[in-house]
Amino acid sequence: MLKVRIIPILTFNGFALIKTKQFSQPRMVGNPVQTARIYNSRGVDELIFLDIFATAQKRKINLNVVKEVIKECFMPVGIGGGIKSLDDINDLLRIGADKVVLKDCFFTNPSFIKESSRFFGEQCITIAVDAKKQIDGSYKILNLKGDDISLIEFIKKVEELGAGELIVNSVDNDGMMRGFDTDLIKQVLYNTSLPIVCVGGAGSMEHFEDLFSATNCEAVGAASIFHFTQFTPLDIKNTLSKLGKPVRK
Amino acid sequence: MNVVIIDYNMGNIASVKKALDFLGIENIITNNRGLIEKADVIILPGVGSFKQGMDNLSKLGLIDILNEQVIVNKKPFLGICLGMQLIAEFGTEPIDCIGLGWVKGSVIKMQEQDKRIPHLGWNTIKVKVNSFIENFQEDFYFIHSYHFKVANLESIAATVDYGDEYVAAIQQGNIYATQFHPEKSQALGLGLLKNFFANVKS
Amino acid sequence: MNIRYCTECLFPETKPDLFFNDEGVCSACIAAEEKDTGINWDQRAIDFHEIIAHYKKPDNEIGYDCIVPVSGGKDSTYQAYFMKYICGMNPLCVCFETTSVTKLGQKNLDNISKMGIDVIHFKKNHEVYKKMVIESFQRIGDEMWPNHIGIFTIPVLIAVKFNIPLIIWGENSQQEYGGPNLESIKNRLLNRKWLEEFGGLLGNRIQDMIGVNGITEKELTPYFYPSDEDINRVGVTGIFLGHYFFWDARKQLEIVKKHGFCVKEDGPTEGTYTNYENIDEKLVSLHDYLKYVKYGFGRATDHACIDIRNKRLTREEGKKLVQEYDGKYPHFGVQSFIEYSGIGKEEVDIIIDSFTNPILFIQNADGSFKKDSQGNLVRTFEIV
Repeated sequence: MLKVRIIPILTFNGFALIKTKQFSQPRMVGNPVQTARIYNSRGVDELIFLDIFATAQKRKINLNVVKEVIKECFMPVGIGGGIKSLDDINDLLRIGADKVVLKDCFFTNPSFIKESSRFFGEQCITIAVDAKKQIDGSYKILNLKGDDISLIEFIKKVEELGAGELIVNSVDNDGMMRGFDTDLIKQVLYNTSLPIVCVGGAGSMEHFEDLFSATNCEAVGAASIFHFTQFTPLDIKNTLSKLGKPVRK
Repeated sequence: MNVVIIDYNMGNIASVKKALDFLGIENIITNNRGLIEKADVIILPGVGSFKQGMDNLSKLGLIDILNEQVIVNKKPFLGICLGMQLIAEFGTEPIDCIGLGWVKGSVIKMQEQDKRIPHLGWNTIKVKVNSFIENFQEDFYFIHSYHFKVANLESIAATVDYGDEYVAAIQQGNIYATQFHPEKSQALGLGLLKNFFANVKS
Repeated sequence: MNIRYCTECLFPETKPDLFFNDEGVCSACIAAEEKDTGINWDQRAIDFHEIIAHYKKPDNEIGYDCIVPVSGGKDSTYQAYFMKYICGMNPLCVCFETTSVTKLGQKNLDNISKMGIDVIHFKKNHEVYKKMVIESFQRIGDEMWPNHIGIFTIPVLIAVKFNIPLIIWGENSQQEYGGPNLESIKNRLLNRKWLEEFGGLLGNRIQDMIGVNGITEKELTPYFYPSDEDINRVGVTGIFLGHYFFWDARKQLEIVKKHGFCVKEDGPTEGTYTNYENIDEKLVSLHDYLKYVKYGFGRATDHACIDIRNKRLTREEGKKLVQEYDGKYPHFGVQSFIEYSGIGKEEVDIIIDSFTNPILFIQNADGSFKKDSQGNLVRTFEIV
């Protein structure tokens, strides 16, 4: 049986790891290598490493740093930030990445998603879905270019272009540690057949109980809870196990 | 033991090297014919589409030498993920394409009503008795949307349940392959690789 | 790399958990400014005395009134002195044995009981602790990690065990060294949440040490924070003295010196220019150096910034000291660590290099770090 994946997400500013609240107020939390070593020792199911300022600052992700991070990992790693070309993807795969995470290229060069999916296989292409709740309760995709696109339209389009996975992050819940946006997760699960990683808002074990009771999601990502509380991925596994969800030993 | 990891510009070669380095197994990443000829064991890793993989092998002139070393000289071969799929006769990703043809069958898109595709994550393999991974009925990391429909059931070493039953590993003479990624499956994956090398050495 | 520095002190933007306001002033300076002008210290003192009155036992009842966690350093010596002689409490001091104590550190620790105060010195299982020292050095680049945990958990465990609810901590490090936001700086309580978020654990948790070289969960007993149930039953309350009284380390140093506290007479501690702080632990300079290779600033920066904020140094004078003392390869600390751990120098250096930030320090063509004849790294940045 496929196991629920518990995925720490490392967000990077080009120099060190940071953690945001609602996609702003970056707080520097430490050195990427030390954090990767902790997660490798914990045997987490996967790791996602994102340079969240690369695109905005018009630079490429620092391959030396990524290499050092991946060196610590005997588990799958997804890397994102500033990826624009097949060469960029190949550079990352060659140093041991398994997947790449794309987003802003959808707004500037959507055919690139299609092209990279055809070249590297759809399983290699993960799309970040940064959903911002609107006053009327609907969701739109936060993006640098400022394009107006609804959540559902976005996920349908990226699936069509050849995405293999979606990381669904609630902009409003990011870093707040007050729980997941289960409405958002439900909407995405209903509207796509791709695997999704649910992100944004985890602060306690109850939040995981709530998410997994309310939805049938199969992967969950978190950051703040691992930086700032006593909980580790093992605690989450134990919590999910009690709910009858399959987790890896 | 002299292990070559075939470099054909299709992804995760560094991870395979890292795993072998960790196990203390001498290895080299290459697409040099001379080095491949001298190898004791050949590993074909890979992430990407079937067609792109075959095109790259062909462009680098590697198809003949692989046939010669694996089929004629019967050197132990390990294919991982795309490296397992490429030994099929035929692939369909993203369009129809001929494979290396060492193991009968074809690689086709997974079709599941109630499951999300790609098949992505940790899943338990069901191992056949007397296969090279007999003692590894455990969770390994999978990431694929296409699967190898192996024609000869004798060649299947392990399967995985994801709605339907899919081929997770192959063993046919000197040819070994896994759909999952042992090099990404932490301690168990490293143990499996170690076991593989112990197996082919004896 | 161009590093932005605080316009008032010398903290760099690369320092974890620091933030800058629009004028480029760091959160530690903002907190210091607040200490100088924005706080009604008289009122805080009244608040403090009200709190402790609640915990003070009547004169005819035996027992301790509060716990003071001590290391034998100047700050904790002052806390003990203050609670006993200024506040008239009957404190129980609790010391978690450090990794590799210096002679001077031992003398200063012994001095606390000579000041007329009871001390529990917790001697930990050396084998288990050493395994954690080595593992945390390799895993997170901080060989003092098990110490960071023990100094917090042991006093709380003893508070629970002996039913002494009040724990008097010193300065809130978030106030002294800056925090991610104003709430963290204004924090007056030290509880589990504070420890996990601000205790310097670098995201590594005690349960991550189970299984390391055979360490069992039971062997980690002293390092687990007591259960919420125990904490609530006893009503454990940890407060920062620095929240209630203006914290001036140098002034306090002069006071404790009169009560038997000794400073290092033969020159400054390795890695900085002062002779009164971090003098109890032989490995501390390695710990400080690891911070330097990760973030580009060391202990001399910490000290200079405090002296600048307390107007004992100008920024310019501080900068000169930092340029002179920060980031020097800690030969003494490394040697002490080699003797303690049994790891060879070459391996120690490989591990240090694995945490060295390639953005901050110049690399050779082969990816190794460029070093001068003294083993010092070459910065890519200017301290400005």
